[in-house]
Amino acid sequence: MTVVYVFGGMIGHTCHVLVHDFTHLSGHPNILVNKAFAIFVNIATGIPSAISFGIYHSDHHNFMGEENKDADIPTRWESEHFKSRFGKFMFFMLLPIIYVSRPFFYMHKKMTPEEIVNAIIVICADILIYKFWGVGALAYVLITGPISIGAHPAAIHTIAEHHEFVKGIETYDYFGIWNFFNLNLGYHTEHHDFPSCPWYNLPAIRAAAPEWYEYLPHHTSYMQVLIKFVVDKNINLYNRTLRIA
Amino acid sequence: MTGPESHLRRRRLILEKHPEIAKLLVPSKPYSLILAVLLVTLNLYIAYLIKVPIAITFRIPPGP
Repeated sequence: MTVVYVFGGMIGHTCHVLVHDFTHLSGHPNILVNKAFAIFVNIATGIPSAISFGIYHSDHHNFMGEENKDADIPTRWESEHFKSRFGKFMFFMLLPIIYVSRPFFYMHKKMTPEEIVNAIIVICADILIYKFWGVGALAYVLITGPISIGAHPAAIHTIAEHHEFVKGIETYDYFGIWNFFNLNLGYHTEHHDFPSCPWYNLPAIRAAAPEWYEYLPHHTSYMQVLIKFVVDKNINLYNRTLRIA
Repeated sequence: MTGPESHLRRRRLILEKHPEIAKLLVPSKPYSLILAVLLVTLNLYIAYLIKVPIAITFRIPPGP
């Protein structure tokens, strides 16, 4: 279990970040290559999700803060039922389930041919893994995906990025060791300013235009973010910037 | 809050002041592709190492 949690969780999360980059078409100049590589990386996490993630994540950028359009915004049901300290902790632990079910229940879209191709390729890969390596190997691959976006330090960025720790500030950067494993995902303001920028160029954007970034508040410890999120009574799932379209 | 998404406005203003940033937006290096191959290989290799044949057998103990 230690191997699964430590290695599988870290590798799985970096795979999710890579899928994120490919779905932003920032891995290669050719769109098809990006989508093919997103599906290829999805094989390592076992559950078909790459193309679907890209579809709902682009709404997060294009309709940022709009309820029932931005899949990153907690629903009112979640905000009410995960309000207590224990509730907020459980929200973090249950993130994989919440992130999958939120688009399904509130902003479900018709499945595209690309999502079907994604599902076929990943499921075929799972079948091959089971056939040649057995159920243990398949279980590992299937667990690394959810475990890496749930109760894992690498996943705390989902709390750190957009919850209003400072009133009026919608997006937060993080600078610390996890940027190495999360491919500069901590440069989140830069990422939202320029979504198509490849992960390796995000620090260069900050360096080129420091007057736009250095005054903004940022995080330096994901553990502190999680503890503050859970413990501070003034911070809950309602602490998000909402927009009325 | 009402009003347009702030990052759109910031993008426009930053590019007006720093047009050199446009060059950074194009994926010019193959780092993501290389990393993709490495990570998929590594995770599948760990899966291969972990493979545990699970056999469930039910045995009826011999009688007295």
